[in-house]
Amino acid sequence: MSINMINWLKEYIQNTPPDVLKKEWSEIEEIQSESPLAFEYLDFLDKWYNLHYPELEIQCIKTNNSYSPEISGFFFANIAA
Amino acid sequence: MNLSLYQTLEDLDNADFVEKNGPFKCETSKAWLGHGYYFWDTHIELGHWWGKMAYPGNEYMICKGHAKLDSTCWDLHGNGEHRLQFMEICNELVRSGLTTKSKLLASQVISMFIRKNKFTYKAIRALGVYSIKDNTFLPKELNLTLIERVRFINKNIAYLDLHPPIQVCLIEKRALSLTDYKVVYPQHYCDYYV
Repeated sequence: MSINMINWLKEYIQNTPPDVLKKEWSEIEEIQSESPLAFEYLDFLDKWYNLHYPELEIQCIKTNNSYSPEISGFFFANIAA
Repeated sequence: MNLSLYQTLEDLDNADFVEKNGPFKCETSKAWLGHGYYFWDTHIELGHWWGKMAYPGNEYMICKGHAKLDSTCWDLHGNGEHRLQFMEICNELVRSGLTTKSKLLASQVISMFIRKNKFTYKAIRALGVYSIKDNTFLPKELNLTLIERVRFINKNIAYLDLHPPIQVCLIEKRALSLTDYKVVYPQHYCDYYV
């Protein structure tokens, strides 16, 4: 079932106009929750369960060896071009 | 696998109503696994700790239900594959540019699927974390930061092995075949106390 969720997510991201995606995601971000950061939670689980999982490379633009906040804009600008 | 689940509620002297209408849904900001029916897995001690923390100065009651862990549960605690899939979903969201590693909340991951009716599970089981920043699932009086918490874990495996703070969130009220929802604390509400 999780595999279906991942496949759906990939297709949805690929097939949905970027502005629609951004709007939907903004609505999700507005929902305030006392939730842990997902990647911090994963790191915590890693320590808790003493597991190791492969570091997956994330495609992004690196500027000055750091992640630029303009990444999102650049990503969608390229899609639009 | 059979589960004993404990839900902590404020004691409003309404045990009959609670047993008839429970469990009760959490739709507050504390619902970090999404809106649903939150329980502690197996250990009533966690229900007591939550009662003291969530209702300081007030009385609380604990209800117990029985459930069956099955394939409708996204088991981020007991299933390593499910944890890896959660990670893959997080990475996909960051790859898309919608969010970043430093911003993505666990609750947002689940919200994404629920909003689109694409969340294929009826329940989620996960190591309970109230908040990474402030409160922790460990007793509040310890007041540990995340880093200290990890060290605490490394030093106190025996304590944690006895009472791992596993939470179960039922998306639907009777998910995992939940049955026998009864008040088990305080004693004076229990059927056998006559």
